[in-house]
Amino acid sequence: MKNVLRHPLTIAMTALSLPVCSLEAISDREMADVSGQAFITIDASSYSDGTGEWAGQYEFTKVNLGLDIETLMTIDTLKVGEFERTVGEDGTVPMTDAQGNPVTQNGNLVAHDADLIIENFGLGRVTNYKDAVNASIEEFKIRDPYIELAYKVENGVRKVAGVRIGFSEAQGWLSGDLISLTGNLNGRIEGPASVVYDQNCNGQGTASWLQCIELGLADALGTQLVSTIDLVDGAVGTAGYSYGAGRELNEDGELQNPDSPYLDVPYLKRASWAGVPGGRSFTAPGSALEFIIPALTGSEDCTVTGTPACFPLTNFQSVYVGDESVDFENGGGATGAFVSLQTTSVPWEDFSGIEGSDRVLTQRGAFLNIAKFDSGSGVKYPLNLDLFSATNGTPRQATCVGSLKGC
Amino acid sequence: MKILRSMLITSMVVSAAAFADLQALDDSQMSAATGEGLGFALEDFVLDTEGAELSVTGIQSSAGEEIDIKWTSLYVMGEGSEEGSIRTPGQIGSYLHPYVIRSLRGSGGLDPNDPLYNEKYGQINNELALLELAADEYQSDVQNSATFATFSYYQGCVWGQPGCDDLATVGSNGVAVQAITNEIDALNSSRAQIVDTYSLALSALENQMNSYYLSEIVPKEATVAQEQTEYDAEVVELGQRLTTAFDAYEAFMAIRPQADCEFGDNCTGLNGSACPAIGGGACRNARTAYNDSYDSYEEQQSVRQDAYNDLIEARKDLAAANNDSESFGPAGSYIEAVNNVEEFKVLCGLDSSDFGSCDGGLITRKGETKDGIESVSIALASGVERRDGLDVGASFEFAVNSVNPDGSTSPRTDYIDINMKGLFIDGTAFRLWSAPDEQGDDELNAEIRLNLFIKELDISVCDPSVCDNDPVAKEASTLNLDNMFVSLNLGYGEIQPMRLSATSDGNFEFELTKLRPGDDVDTTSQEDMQAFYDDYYENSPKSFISISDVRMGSSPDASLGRITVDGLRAQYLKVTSRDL
Repeated sequence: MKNVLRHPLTIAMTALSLPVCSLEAISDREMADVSGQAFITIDASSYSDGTGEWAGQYEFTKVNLGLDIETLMTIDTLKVGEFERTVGEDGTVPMTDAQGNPVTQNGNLVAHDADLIIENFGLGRVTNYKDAVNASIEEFKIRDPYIELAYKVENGVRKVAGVRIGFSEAQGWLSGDLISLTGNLNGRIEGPASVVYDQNCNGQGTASWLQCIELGLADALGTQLVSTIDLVDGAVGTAGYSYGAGRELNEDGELQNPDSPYLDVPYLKRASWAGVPGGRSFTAPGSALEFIIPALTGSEDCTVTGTPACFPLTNFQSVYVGDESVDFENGGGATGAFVSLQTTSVPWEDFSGIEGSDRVLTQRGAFLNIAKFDSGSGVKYPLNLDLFSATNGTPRQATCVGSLKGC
Repeated sequence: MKILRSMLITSMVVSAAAFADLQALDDSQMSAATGEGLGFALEDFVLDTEGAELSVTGIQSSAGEEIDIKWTSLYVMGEGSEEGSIRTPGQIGSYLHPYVIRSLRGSGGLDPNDPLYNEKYGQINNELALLELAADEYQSDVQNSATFATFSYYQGCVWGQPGCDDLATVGSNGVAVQAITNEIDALNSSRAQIVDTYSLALSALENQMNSYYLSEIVPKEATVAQEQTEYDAEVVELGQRLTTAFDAYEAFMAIRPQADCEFGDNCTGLNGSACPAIGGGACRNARTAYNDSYDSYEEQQSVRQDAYNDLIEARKDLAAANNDSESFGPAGSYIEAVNNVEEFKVLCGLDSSDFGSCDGGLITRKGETKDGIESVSIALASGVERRDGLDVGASFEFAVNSVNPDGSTSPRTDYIDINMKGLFIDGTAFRLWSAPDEQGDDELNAEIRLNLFIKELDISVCDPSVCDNDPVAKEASTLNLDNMFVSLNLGYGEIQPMRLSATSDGNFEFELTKLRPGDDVDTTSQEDMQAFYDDYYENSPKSFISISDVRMGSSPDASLGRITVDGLRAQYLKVTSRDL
């Protein structure tokens, strides 16, 4: 930083913060490396191309911090946006028990009490956690965090519309009991066609004989089924059951989820389930059956041809942020992750790097964006599941020595 | 520039502070150290820049453009100053509760019954001298800002403000007490649900789980890892063979460009890839090389598919072992058992060995929190008044070039006006000491206990030329944060000191070190090391951040509710600055 500090108070504070340890001269070689560090920059931008509730004049101020951070950090409870929401409004989903039964009070559906509720949150992990002598820390890495303020200008009056904290790059294990999520949690699910065949044919399941023949063929050909997953409404028997936010269109542009009450919302609020949203299908890229698979594997009522397609978020207490196969220094970090709080609708700039991405549309309340990103070698997802364990879950990554969580 | 209207130093005891290199004391020096220090308080304190401005230069945008920043106002006054407009004297400490700078010994190694033992310094060896800078401290739960802030969070409003001063809402059954009681009831309900699931003792269940883990999970995890390694290797091999085949195809096409053969075809003389009968040896060799290498690629596809199938089978086996619902009788699968046991330990303490007892963990911590809230609530109901804090405010102007969506830029001025009403930092302390690092060189270690409680924090970004003349518009565009409390605890004595240093290229480095077992811990013993970690988890202070309401303007419809970061702890943290 090359600040010229002219304020006496600032100078006094600077003097007080001088190191108490003894100062040592640095060599000429070391001196040559000192070029006036600038670890803070401030960027201003504006946006007025939005439509609907994101129309109008927005201004942004982004404070970039040049920092490399490595940490193992835990939080017992993280709760943001604890205010009243009504189920069914703005994409607010009902609260459920672990089996998906909606929770009611006085006969009415209720939502979780905050937009984001994460218990036993953790960044980073402990390897060999059952071995106190040899346990070691695998840090969560962050590069260049930033704080951004959004303003909305209406009738000449400027007001704070939102604030977000994000990272240019982040990599490592993120853990937590995801009780309530508002925002984007993108994932990818895959598995061989044999899983769907085994669960629905061979005398069990709900697939028709024709579907079983086709699935059997897909199995014989070693077909790999792939789909993306998002937050969904997991409240069995309610109007929004199994649906995610937005419109599901097939290759011909036909709407596949016309009954969804969430067609016009950008994301679900206070969700506690994820999965393949109603109306979305699996694909089999590169397979000889590529054109048949979507018709066979449309998701409906949280099942895909009888195979469960939704699961409670608490099943998956750890997600890997970034590309696990590439180290941090070589670009393995995820881009575009952030958490924000808005007093009104805000179109945040999208830093995911995905081609065609422009703005992340957010509304009043809290928002967590753990979304897909472009790693430079393709689109990567923070949540990667396989068909046979998605509905059962996998153990959490440990964040303590001696126990998985709770320290 | 700044005007100190009235500053009275009421108490100066013994000056012993020195910002010099800190050294370990020898025995004779140690025997002379008895905890001297300087205590001071600033009474009737007022600071007001009264229109003077400070310019900060050197901050740039990412494009390298200079950002002109003006610090247009700063005030520190007593609470009730109406955003610095009424010159209200403030109190920074008092004769009975002064700020202090003192040197003293650590209490590590002393018997807790020793009169010189102080729990605050218990993780710093008694042979080390430390320098402490501490703000005022209060024993009364009403005056102690940490306790009062927690009460305010649960009460849900700024105590003393209109609409939040009804004595009927406090007392032993007040709003805050009921709120924390409901929270504890919910935790106890979760605990009961877990306990009711099991018929055997916790320790017996853990033994059973451990056996199952070793016999069923570990081998299957190893198989998955092995199959994954093999599959990854086959994928790499597949890629190499594909590259080889493509190179061979290109080599063939370079020799015989007129060949009617696509990559992936079997190129023969019968399908348009004939080579000249005379002098066509190189062509035939290249054609054969391509055909062979493509066959090799196809064979590898089959090998990769087999490896994938093996991997899938291994994963299925592991998933089945994790999720077999019969594994633990009524308790269900191994994963369910792990989740339940872990959750019980969160609620009742990591060293729990019995479902019947609950002497630590979240339930105990919340119980202690409830005691403090109850104490404050009862005291307020009986008429005890909370002391006033400080009002602190500052205004800034930023002249920036705003980037428009089309890439052009427009000049813009941003305004930020921050007003803190009722600010307290009692309980804050900075402790510094010198100790040898891994190389045996002396290094400066530190520990921070920062308590910051602000009853109301208002942030306005409206252009003063518009909003100063329109109070309604200003109110509607101001972001209000009520009962903001930050309790930041960094460092835990010699076990996890905080270090500040600079790198040779001019960047700073801040580190909360990895845990350092003391000399009394046998680092080769599982029991000793686990006990060391458990002690750290149980006793090192966590950090907390809470805001009871975030609101735009005064409309309840514009409320974003509470923000809670409860029990934050960094087991390791290293922050290094870098040039952007």
